Amino acid sequence: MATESAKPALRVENLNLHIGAGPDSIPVVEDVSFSIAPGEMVGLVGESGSGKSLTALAIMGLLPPAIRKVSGSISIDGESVTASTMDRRVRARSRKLAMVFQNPMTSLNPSHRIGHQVAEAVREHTPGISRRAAWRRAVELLDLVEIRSPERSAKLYPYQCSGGMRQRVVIAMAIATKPSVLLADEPTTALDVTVQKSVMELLENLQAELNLAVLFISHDLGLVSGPCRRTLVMYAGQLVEEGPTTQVLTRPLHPYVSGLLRCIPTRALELGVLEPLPGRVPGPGQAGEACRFVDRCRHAIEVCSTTPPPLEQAEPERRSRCHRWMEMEALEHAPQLQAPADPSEVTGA
Amino acid sequence: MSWLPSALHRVTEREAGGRGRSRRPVLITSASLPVKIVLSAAIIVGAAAILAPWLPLQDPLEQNLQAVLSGPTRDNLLGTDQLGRDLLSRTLYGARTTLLAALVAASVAAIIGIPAALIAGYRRGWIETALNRSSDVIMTVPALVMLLAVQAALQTGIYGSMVTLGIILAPHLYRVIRSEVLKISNSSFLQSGRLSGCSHRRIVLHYVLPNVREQAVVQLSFQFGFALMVEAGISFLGVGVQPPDPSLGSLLNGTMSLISREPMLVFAPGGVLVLLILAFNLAGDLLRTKSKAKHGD
Amino acid sequence: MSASTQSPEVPGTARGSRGASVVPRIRAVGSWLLSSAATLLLISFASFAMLYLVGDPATAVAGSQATLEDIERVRQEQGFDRPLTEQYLDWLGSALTGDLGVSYTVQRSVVGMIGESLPITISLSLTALVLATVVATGVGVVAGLRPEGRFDRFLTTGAVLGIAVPNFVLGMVLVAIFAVWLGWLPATGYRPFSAGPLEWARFMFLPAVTLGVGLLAQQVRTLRSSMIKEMESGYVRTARAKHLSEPVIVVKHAARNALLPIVTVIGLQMSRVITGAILVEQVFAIPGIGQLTVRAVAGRDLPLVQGLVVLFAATILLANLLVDLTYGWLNPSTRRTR
Repeated sequence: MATESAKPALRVENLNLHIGAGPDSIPVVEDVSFSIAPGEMVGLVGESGSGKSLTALAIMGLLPPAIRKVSGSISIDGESVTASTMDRRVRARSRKLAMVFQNPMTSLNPSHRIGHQVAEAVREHTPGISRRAAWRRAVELLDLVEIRSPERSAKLYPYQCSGGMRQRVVIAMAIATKPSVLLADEPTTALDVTVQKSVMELLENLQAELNLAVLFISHDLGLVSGPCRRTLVMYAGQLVEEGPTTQVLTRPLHPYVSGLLRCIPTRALELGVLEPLPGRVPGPGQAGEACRFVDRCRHAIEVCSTTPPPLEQAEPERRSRCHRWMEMEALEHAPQLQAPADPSEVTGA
Repeated sequence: MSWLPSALHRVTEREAGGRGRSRRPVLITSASLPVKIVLSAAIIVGAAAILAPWLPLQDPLEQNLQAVLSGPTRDNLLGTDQLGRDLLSRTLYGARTTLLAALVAASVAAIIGIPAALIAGYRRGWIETALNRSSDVIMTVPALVMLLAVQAALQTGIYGSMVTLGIILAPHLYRVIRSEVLKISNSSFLQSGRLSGCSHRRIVLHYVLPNVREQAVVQLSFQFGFALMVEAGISFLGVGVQPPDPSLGSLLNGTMSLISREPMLVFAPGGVLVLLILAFNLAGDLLRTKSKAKHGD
Repeated sequence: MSASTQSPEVPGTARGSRGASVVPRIRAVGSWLLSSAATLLLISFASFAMLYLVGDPATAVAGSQATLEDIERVRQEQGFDRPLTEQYLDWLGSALTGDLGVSYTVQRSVVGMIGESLPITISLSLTALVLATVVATGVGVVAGLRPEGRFDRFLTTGAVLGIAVPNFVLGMVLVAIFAVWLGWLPATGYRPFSAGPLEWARFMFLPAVTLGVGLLAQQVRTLRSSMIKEMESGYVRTARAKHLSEPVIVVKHAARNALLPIVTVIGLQMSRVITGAILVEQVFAIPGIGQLTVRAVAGRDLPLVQGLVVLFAATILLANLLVDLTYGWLNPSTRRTR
């Protein structure tokens, strides 16, 4: 399922994003490459500042003016979209991309009814369509995203809708253009926990029904563990690990990921230890030449401070950006990490 | 951009550098060059105006019917007006009158507005309601209209009008300062002062007033500019400073028909007036930006 | 959020479409009526007291040549020696029936004189406001698209100057350039619309521009920063993700929301409009309310001044109401709170 088919729904190659221009520009996303198969949901996990949102914006062509795309090619359904946006065929291809953003409270125009905003997306997709037909289709879409009484709801203004409802409207707008790829940037982060679950389920249903390829961006490892078959992890602008989600979570090949897992209370109970990662994420341009994680890595050796680790194909379906990925399993179960016999001895530190 | 992570946002602003999206410098000393020029010019002219009686100027009231509407000459650097009076001297003395008049108005506004705001914001209760209501009522009538009405009733001179203007401006100051006081009253450091047993008077003087001072200065700067405009306006209408006394407004009274023959008659007092108003507005803007930056708005 | 979003997925409890919030708006008008009536009473009484008590009306009527006896005689004849409240209630009673008294300087009713001049000033003010708003909208939106760009900085400088220049000074300068030097337009005077639209426009152009510049400057500042804020908002980003074209995003989305504060700004400008009209009418010799006011004050025409003060106050209050209602109509989310 996760193998690269002949025509991946989305393929990103060598994406490099810099702030500023010229020789003083600072990389914020470095050498990111991955692909998503049609109908596959892939998680992209990282902290704020890891570059995950910028990656998505770059794919969409929505980068803020301060960020410059230095290199990188993006293709949808096998066809490149990195040519100039003036090319109409290219724009049509880029319409197979849709994006859902994090904050539903600000994502909708407060002066337009929600039905109107969805219909606007419909009309953009089908230029000749009549207003009435567009409205009908908008109501259909609202129904598809599980909004109750869609005919009546379509006439509401955003201020009359809750966060969960607004996010569904945003999703409806996104799928109105019948995209092949949906980029979801922390779609549930700003929602209440109970609403989060229902919106996640909606996304999974839609993905199955419409055969959508989904890039699910999150800072929450736990959230991606359910629906995402594969997971990518970014740190300080680089991809550091990739693999089937279950394997990444049980058998990480990068110290950052294993460190993250140790921070999660529920997992820590299983492992017997709860330890935060020391230090902080380096900002843009703050990391050294070599491995970006070296200052915080419990397994760092000399080569880690001198040579930047390449992103290696560790196993058929896994990649890791660590000099010692091969030793990870052994390192993780080394004696000094043995759990104390009695888990209640573990303090919450 | 609002969706950039905050660390990136800071870097962006720094790296984006001189072209395009950089933020405007915030301290007075690093204000942009045109602003500095305007402020310097205004200070020079203002100082000259206030010191006018001690400067070697001609008598602003002395007529010389032989040299009516002459252009700039050695004796009359800006020329003369329709009655042969020296324009430079009249302009400077006029600026002096206008500045002093505005000072009266601003002072009255401060004397009334700030204490009222402090009491209302701190004491709350019926006195706040009463003051709020009164200020709303005063703000309902346009300033110029009220000044004219007072003129019709009392026929006061310019200083009487300026006191009235001060009363009219006080509510605006009151509103701004009161909201500042309310903000501070809710802050934790004031609560700690109260807890440590300070008397009300001490709290107001030592905690509230210093913080309110900044806002007050900003507002008074704008109000000074406004007062300049109003004084000029009523003198222009013939209701303020009466001819032959010079004020920037009265100098403009009746000069419209002469503007083609001697544009200086309008441009000298008009230019000085615009310069002074502009300077106070810019100063207020600068002070406000500086205060916002200091408080991390 | 309020009660209407309690059950998020069920829209039944929401207010529904636009017209459903009529009741709160009637309530708003009602409360405005009450508070405005109270304010007007207060203002008219204060004004009356100032004019008729402090400013001795007897001397005003008797004139500057009068002797002390004449003044006393006038005082008794006209009833100025009665208690103030009695005189005020007299005035108030007549005022409520539409009679504001008779002018001291001209033997005409105050209402009549006001009625004659008011339309002229309204025509001047409306023209100035419309001009200012239209230009400010176009220019402010464009400037907001490229903050700190050349056009934006040029515009901001212009706005700062526009606020600092008193309108009578500007008026004189414009007259000097366009009427005297270039001779394109008449310097002073007024032609009613009935004399032909072109004539009306020729005489109205400079005065309206003079009055409008100050208004324009204030509006531009607001619009520009409002536009910048909207262009940075989340829904503009959503619109871009929807692949909408840039002009559509600017006009239908950003500008639509950015223009909202203009209504409030115009409301706050009403005071400036009145003041400006008084000064501009003086410069351009336009026989409107402004000139009437100046003449009334010069002549100590107390009934006229009293009537005018009340008129101006009422205008401001009415403008406030209109602003509130318009804002509520344009911005759906504020309607509920009324």
